[in-house]
Amino acid sequence: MKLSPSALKTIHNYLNLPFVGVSGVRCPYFNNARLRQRGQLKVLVGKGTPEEIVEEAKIISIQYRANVFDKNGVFNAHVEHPAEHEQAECIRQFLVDNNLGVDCSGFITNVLQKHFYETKQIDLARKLFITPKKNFLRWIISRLRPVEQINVKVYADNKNTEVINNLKALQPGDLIVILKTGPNKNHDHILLVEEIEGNIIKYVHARAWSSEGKYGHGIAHGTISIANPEKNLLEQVWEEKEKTNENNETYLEAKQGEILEIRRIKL
Amino acid sequence: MNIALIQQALGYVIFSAIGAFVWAPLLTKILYKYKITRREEFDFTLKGGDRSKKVGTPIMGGLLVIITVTVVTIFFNWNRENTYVPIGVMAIAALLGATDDLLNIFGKKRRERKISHILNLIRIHKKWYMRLWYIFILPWEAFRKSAAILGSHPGRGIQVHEKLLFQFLAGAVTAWWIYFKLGIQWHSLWIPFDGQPFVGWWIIPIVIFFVMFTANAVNFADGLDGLAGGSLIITFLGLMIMSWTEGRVSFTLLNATTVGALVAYTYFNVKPARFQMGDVGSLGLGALLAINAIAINRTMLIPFVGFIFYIEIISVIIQVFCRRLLGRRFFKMAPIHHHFEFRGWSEEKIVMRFWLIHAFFVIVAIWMSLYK
Repeated sequence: MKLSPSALKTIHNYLNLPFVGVSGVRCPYFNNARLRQRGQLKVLVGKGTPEEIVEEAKIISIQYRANVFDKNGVFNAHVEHPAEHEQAECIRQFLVDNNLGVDCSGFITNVLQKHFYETKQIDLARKLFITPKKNFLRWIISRLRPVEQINVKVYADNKNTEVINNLKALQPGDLIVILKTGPNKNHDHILLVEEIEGNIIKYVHARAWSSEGKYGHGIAHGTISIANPEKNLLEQVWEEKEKTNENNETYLEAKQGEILEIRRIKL
Repeated sequence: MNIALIQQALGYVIFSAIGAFVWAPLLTKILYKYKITRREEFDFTLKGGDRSKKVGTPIMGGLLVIITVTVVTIFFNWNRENTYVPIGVMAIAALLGATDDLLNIFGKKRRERKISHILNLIRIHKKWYMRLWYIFILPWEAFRKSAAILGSHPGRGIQVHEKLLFQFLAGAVTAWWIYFKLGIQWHSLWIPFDGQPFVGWWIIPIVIFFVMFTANAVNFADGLDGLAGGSLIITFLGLMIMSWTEGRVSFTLLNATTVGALVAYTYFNVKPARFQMGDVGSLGLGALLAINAIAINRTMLIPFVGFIFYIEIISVIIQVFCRRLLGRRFFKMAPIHHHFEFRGWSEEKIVMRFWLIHAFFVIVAIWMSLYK
């Protein structure tokens, strides 16, 4: 069982941002919580699609820095015949330095939007409940800029999703929601179930591991091997970047979270 | 047709152009001497690419036009009823622009204080009179912050809210002159093909709006070599013809003087520019454009005589609106000439096409102005 082809293509595009002539540029992680930019472009607050991130990188390159891309969007290498991974790394650094990337909920919203549009012809961002009408100003903002207003708590809201307790019932498109995690219990995280292969759950998410330093973070795949479906999620085997359980920061985040749930979007 | 007047006006064009050509080298020397040039460290748009070639180009070249027009008008076309206020308003706007240009080069980075910070201070400051002070300044700070939304980045120069206040002052002086000094016939607004409905005191906000809007519009168009200069020649030529057909001697000559000075300016400003207009020129000439059109009661034709400037400012408004409200870009970059630059058009192609489009709409404006 897999996500829809357009959703998979979006994930692929996040893993290989569509820059002209350079492949393998993985989208970095960027969360607006630190800069707290308001009224800013969607792509500059960590909610952009792969295409928007590429377009903005070219604009920033021409407007502020230049010489990373030319006017046709082709990467300008500063050394002769650089290896492709070096080019990709150079572009990734440029993206990180200019606060271009995506956060966990922004990534999942953009992927699921494609998924639901292909499978049900539904615009997910407009269907999700974000804020009540009585909070009129915020409601207007949520109608004008829905993707920017969708965070992990929106996906954890019972109005939008329902809890799945049975690991065997998991489907692609389900969400693993982690609330109040981290050392200070002040952030949330979300993973998207991309594929189920037997007793292996393949997930994808936008994350920043502390061990990856300034430039290593971004969109990543991981797996959860269901050793015993009767036990809870934390008692299964989490593997990402060839690291398992306690060495796997995603697992640690899940473990630290006050709430860890599997949820399915109700539409 | 008053052939003698147009003959005299063309004489002013020639005289003013020669005068400006003569002292242009001196101005360039002064600008270089005092290092009034574009510097990369103060101007983020210059980093890299083709635009990096503009580093070191003198700014405030608009002084060539402002000073030439002022001097020629004072000595040969000074008329307390007609040219006194337009030159005064142009000077106010140019002074504002000059201050901005100089602060952008020599000023210190301005401090930014967030509204939430002030609200916090109101709540927690230990001294009651300081809390009172912060309550007192809160509306001003809110105005400052809301105006900052319109600007792209707070720099060293005059901030948006201060610019708006000064431009409002320039607009208010013009409105005072139009409403109180020029007589009752100026309380009617000429509408193309529709006569002159009486608008009474409503003329005051209309005039203020057009002066402020047009000054800023020209300011936005001053982004490519030759664009603002060439377009302004066409505009003031159009205004000269319109003033001539209306039989307004002083304004025909004032517009002619401006055309002449602009010819000299644009000669030095086409790519690669010897100097650039700067805010001193763009704000001053934008205000003069508006006031000259208002003074011949062709206010409603300003969007046509200043067509390209209005397109430029509207592109910025649309971009800011889409950016702030919808979170996306409408144009790749704004003002619109940067959008075409991003699309791969050369600077020369953009400038010349904009000149042609602008010329077409100025001709439309002249055609419309002939309908009484």
